Amino acid sequence: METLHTVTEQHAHTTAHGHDGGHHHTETFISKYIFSLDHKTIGKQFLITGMIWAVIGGLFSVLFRIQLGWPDETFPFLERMFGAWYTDGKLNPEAYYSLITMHGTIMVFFVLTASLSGTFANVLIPLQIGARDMASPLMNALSYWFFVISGIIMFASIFLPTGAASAGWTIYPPLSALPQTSPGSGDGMSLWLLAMVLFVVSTLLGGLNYVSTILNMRTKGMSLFKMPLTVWALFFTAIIGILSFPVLVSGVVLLIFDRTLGTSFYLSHIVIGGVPQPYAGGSPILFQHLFWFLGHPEVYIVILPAMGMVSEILAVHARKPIFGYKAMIFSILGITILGFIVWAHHMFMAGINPFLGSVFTFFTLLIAIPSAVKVFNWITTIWKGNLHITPPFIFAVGFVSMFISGGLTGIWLGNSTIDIQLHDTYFVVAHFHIVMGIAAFFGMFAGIYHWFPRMFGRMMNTNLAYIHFAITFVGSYLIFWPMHFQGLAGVPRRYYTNNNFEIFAVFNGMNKVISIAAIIVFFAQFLFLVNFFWSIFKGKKSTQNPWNANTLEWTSPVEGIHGNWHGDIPEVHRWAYDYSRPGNESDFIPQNVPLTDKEKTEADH
Amino acid sequence: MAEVLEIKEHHTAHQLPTPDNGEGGEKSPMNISYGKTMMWYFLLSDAFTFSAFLIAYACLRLGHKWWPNPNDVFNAMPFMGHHKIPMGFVSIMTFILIMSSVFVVRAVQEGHRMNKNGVMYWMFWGILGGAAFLGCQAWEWQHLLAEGMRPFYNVFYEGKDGLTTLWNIHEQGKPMFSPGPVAFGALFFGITGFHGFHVFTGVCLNIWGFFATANGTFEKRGHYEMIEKLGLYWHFVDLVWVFVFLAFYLM
Amino acid sequence: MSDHQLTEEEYKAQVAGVWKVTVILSIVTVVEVAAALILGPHLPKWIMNPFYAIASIAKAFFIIGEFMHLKYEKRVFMLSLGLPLFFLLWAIIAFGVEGNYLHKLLYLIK
Repeated sequence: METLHTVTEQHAHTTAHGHDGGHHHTETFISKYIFSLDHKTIGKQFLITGMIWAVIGGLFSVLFRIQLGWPDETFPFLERMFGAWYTDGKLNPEAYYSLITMHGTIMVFFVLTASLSGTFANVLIPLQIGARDMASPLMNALSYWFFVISGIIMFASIFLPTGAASAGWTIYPPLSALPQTSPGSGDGMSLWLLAMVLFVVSTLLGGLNYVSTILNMRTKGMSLFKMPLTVWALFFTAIIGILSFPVLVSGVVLLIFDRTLGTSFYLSHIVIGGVPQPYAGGSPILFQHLFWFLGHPEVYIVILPAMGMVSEILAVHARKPIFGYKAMIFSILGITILGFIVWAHHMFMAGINPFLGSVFTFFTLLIAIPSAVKVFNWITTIWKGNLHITPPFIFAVGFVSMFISGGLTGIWLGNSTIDIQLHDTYFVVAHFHIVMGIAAFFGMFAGIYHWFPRMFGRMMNTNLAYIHFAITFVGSYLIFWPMHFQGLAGVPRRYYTNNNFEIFAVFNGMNKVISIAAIIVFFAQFLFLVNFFWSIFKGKKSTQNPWNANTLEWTSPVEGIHGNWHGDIPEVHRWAYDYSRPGNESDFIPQNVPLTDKEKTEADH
Repeated sequence: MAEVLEIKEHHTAHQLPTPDNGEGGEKSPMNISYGKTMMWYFLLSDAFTFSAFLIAYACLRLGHKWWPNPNDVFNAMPFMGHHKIPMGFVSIMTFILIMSSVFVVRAVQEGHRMNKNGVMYWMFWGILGGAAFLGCQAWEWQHLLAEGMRPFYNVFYEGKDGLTTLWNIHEQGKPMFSPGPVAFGALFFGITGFHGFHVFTGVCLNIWGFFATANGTFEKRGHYEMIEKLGLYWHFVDLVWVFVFLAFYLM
Repeated sequence: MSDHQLTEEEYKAQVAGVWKVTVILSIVTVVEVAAALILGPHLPKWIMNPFYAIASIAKAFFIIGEFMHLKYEKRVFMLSLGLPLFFLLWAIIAFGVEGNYLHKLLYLIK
């Protein structure tokens, strides 16, 4: 009789509260916070892991910026801290190359790919489309744990006696293929390659999940064209990942063969120490093609989630409908498609067929169109809006600013003729850091400040956020704007020191300014971290819908239950951007509010 | 009572009720379950992996002045001694893989009819076909290795009039630099190896599917969608072979 | 795929369809191999290779359509799988151009 009782109780529970309850009594700390299958927890795990990686990656940039700013000084205190990387208080050249390689790898892959999409796809997709969880919570958790394993391997490679991989984050052969060429191309590179293969597994598990969740799990009424732009952006991000990362795997597998089996996919005409090597018929440019077939879509994997979040945040905080909702979707689609056919613009100077270069120039310049559509739509969205100046809003505006400044130089670099001068100079460094590095970070910060109440049920401190914004925004421009001038003058990137070029001595002061700004910006991020972790425990309690936003995630309980909603999932009746609708008493109408009679008649016409 | 028990069945697992398994939301525009959606897009992704290999192959091959003629390289057959039968063995391999694929289609069809024994019967033949293919591949590799082919060494070189000639390392000695284009061996072993790895994975998955069917796992679940997903993967392996066959043996 | 129970006729038609495709695949393969052996040595590569490629693509269509059952899915699903392949088409062209260029470069180095 007792069994029957429990069963009926569970029955009542299921019908009344969806599925919630029932699980709580079995949940331990480990199953709730560590090996969780709940998409919100996995999202937070991605976020915090990403923060740890961002601090490591940022610290590396500080170390090599110190070298670039003060190439003649010695820093005994750094030697005490980092030991083998320093000799007589100076950074070793090999360590310098490892640092820039790891900085690039960590920031591009671990922070801005895994952590950015991992966090927001996990937290937002089920909540915004009205699903209880991901299509496959288990695969979702596996995606995170593959990311962790990949990260542990990458982290371990830093401590190898021969140093971490040092061939640049693009790991071009022959430098990366032949262990004899540099200490970092030994075990460090092997671990790098292994970590990347596991990383791709993680991305695929996540991406397949996001796509099938968005296609199959939408709540009643949530047709594709009622989805918030965040979901659209994350959808296309996942598709780009699914299609481009496998090509990296192919390239990496062939590279592993070259390293271990002595094949010559990427090697030809190699002479080491006067001895000709038996490699023949390969082409290092083939690797560059395979790498950039991933590498270029990769930059859209980085920037699209930020674009989606910024679209959403600008509309919410400007209290205006997003300008050109469908134009936004189709420009994301356009960017996705064009992103796949322009990869060789990274290789204009690598020795590709010059005719092919001109075709790639043409495709590349086409990307300016959807990008400009998006920029104009953001500006027109906040135009004459009822702006609520909040931390997420200013970071979103900062994103737009960065995207414009960095995007314009992209038009320069996309022209193969101008690229002949600018290739591999600090101009390129400035361009991509502003347009995809800093911009994506701004998008990420905007997203964190905006959805923090949904993730942790509390608000972040606003004043700290403003200071964080001011220092980061001004500091980022201080770091990267001067680099344009260095690049135009021909200062090559990746060099350990420019002391040997008298002509570049004019930039000594500028380099110091850049380095000081980089150090300040790096330490300013701790304001954010303190704010973040302090607010998790002590922040002001959040209300149900602190920003008065329309999307579905603000209807789910603040405390964040497993299963997302008590009872039935809300039904969706309207798009996500009904802000400041004339004749409505509040300035927002959530998606789950049914259409009024007047609206129905309007919709019929 | 029956109804109550049924509900319990649904919610004991950790799986949450979702629109896809019973909460009634928007239909997928693709009208296909999430599991199969994932499998299909995974295969699309894997297709890009293989395409990247094959495109790299095309690129390197076009970069060479001369390339061994497949008819003169792949002409051995087990139990036939030194008789040269160009394309013979690989045609048999292709046929084995196609038949194995057909058997698995039949298993999927029986699954739709909830015919447990039918599924097991055809899965068994499908697994056997996959294993036979792997055996053939092992023989072919072993034969080429015995001839002196290595991923980093190619014994088929440009002989008189551009004819593909075998450099007999046992009689003529082994020069330090490979007599023929090195990339040939590397690409052949690399790509057929990667395909073979997929076949191996597929056979393992199919064996698991066979035993899960035997245990009645899918019967209890009420559908054989898992067999369908395994089938999709298996056909994909066959599909890739069509292009590997094209690239290495025909062109 | 549909949830409804198959009738006996539908089932038989499906099974027959599969065996028909099997026969077609076998015939195409035999034709390919025969062409490679009989015509291959006499005709130039630029005639034979497109022939092989078209025959292989035809085989691929049968495998995807019938074995993988894509023929019976919704059109939008087919497109979502088919359209990304155009990226590969462009990759084949670009890598092919590069291969030819590599040819020139490699033989410049003596």
